[in-house]
Amino acid sequence: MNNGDDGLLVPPRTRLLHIGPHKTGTTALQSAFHSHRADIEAQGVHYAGPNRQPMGAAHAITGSPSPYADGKAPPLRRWQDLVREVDGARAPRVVISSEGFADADEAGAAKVVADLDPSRTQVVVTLRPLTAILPSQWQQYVQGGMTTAYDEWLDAMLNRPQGTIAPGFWRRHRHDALVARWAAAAGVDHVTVVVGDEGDHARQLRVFERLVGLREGTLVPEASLGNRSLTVPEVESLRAFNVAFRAEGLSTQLHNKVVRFGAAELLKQRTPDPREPRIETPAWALERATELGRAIADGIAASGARVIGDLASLTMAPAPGRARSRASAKRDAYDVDAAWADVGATLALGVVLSSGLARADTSKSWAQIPWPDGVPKRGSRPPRARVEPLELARVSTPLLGLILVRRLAGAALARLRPARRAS
Amino acid sequence: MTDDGALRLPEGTRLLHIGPHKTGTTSVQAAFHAARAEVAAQGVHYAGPNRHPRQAAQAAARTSLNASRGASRAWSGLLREVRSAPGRVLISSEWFADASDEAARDIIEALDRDRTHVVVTLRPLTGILPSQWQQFVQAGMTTPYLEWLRAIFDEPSSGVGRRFWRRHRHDRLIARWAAIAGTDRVSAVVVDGQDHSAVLRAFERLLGLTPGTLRLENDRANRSLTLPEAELVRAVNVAFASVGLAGQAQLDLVLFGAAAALKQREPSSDLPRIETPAWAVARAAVVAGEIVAGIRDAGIRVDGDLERLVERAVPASERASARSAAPARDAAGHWPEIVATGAIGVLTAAGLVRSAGRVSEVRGFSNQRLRSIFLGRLRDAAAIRARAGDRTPSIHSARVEVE
Repeated sequence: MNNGDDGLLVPPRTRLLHIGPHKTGTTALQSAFHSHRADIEAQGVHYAGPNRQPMGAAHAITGSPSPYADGKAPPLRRWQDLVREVDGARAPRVVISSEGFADADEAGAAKVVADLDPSRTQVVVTLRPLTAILPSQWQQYVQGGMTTAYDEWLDAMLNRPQGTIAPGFWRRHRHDALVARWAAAAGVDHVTVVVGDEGDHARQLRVFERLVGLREGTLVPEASLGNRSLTVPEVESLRAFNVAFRAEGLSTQLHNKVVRFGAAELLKQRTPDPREPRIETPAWALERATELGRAIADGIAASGARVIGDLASLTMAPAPGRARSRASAKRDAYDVDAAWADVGATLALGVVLSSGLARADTSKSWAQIPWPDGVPKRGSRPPRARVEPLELARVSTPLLGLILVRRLAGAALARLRPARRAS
Repeated sequence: MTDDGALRLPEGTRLLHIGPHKTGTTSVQAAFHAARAEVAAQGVHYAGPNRHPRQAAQAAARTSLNASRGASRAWSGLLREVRSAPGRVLISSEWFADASDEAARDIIEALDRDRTHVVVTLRPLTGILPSQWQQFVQAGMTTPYLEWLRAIFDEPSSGVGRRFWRRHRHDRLIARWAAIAGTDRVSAVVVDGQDHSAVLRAFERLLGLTPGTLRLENDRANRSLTLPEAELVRAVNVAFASVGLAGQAQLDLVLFGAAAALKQREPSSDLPRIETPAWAVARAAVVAGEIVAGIRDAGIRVDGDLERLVERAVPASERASARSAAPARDAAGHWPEIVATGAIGVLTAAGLVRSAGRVSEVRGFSNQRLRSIFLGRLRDAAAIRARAGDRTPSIHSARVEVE
């Protein structure tokens, strides 16, 4: 293990490829790089991509469906542009960071490394305990449209990992296999594992500063950037919304538009009361995740990849009882109903803002929202402009026209018939 | 009480039902709309193409500051229809109750004073209070219930107070219309809180219809919101107002969106209802006493027992024991669905759920309604195309006032 101050700095001309995975503090790290580009460039480090993270490029080379491309893989051009930028960078060291890379299979990983030049690429994997990742990843999936309840999802992930629910979870989060996959692509001596410190999230930033040779304290995440996990009222409201959304038979694209790029973002900008319930993982799942964490830690230790931080911390489980008793003691004074109503109003507002109906009126501009990879397009203004009963609002204009024509024709025929009989 | 025959209005009468709001008007209107053919066969015409001629009545009552041309056309069209109808005619809208004296006089004149009879439906104030509050909330109000009650009773001449009492000081409402139409040309019907079909029987008596001609329609869409639903809608109003979505946009997205979607669901029986505090119930009982005395003095015809309009406050001790006997009402398990329903309602009203409609759901709407919506959509689509690139929102078109 190489844990000291020296020896962390990667050689000049290195491309540091941070592949996540998801829910390991990537947003804080990326926002710190993105918001201090000039300072970082001056210190000899180029942060690749125009936005906070080049998610579209990562999805393009790994062939993953992307919410930025209507659920399809973005054009390969996105990735090629990024590689061109990396090749043209004058700074001695380049950082490319997107958790989108963690979803790559062996072939995808090999392509990424080949395009970035295997001799110059250093893959960095950031890790957190599975027990912390589980609730965080679940609520992220709900933001993406999943309807499965937490307990049921945990059962599927931990007891029936070959099932159809969230099949991508273990590709990201079986971290020993993830490290092995990228070691196969880049060479094990080109893979670094950074184990986070659950008590001190800033430590990860310090490690990255040392990896690329930035002055300590250069990387500071934007304070306003909230990629926080949703609370129980928030996530359960979204989940119920997803159920209703599916029942209406609506498209994934529309869901991306109104939830991912609308309601979910607005919800995360709420400041929930500290007593608002947080997602709690049941004891059996914590136990099981701790066991798996041990196997993952052992696998990584045996892989020969460089490890920064304490692998043993991956087997940690938070004490479950404490948070719950504290919450229930205070619940009397806390107005749960008001919290739900507020969540509901935020959800409704998110839907309206993303629909474009209120775009000129928003105090907070759409462009100011910290989208990961650029401001999403909102498309044309929605068609509706009048008072309609809900039953009619659900009927498409062509169908409405058809019904009307049929009815008027029917009425005309009925009027004609007695006239004929008379004549 | 008089026997049925004595209540029947003369042949050729135009019966003007003026509400007021929250007195079962939708039940009456839905029943007549559904039974158009049956009542016509018995010589009664129900005026207007839809369930409720709201636009026409709003134009006639001149309540809206922005009475559109379309609305005044709707009123003159309704008048033409009334004049050409043989036999008895019913015109029903709670919006007539909001008419100024001048507007009321014009309405009576237009309908022909000698042939017009005004009917007012009445319900205890204690029942009207929560019902009217949640209706105002659906129409955009953000004031919490207790604060609103305080304004009603302590500042009756404030804006909020005047708006409420103009409709619901029922003795004065009746006196206003009696002064214009004549005391012998105004009737009151006391609505039974338990038996919702009783009001239909009263209208059958007035119009000489065979008892049972009118049937209660499923009017879930007109139910009151439960407390958590109303609180959600109120929070949505606050949030929408914070980004400048008010007025017509609020009505489009909330009243015709979130609230409409909520009302389409059958509310679970364990959801908390809007509860009026004992002090307000007591104040309402005092006012109700004055209202009953005032109606007695007016000398109009009354169908039903006026005493039922006065509901005494239940002492706190009895309320507490009733509450402990009943299972506790808790919204907790219902919140996700309530929130999701509201959001889907907004999404639908925003016109983003155009694919899910079924032809069968359209059955209840008149050709005229469908045509105006269809043409309106085409116009809007053309306007949107013409304005492509314009950044100002424009979902303000047809103007209505609804609360």
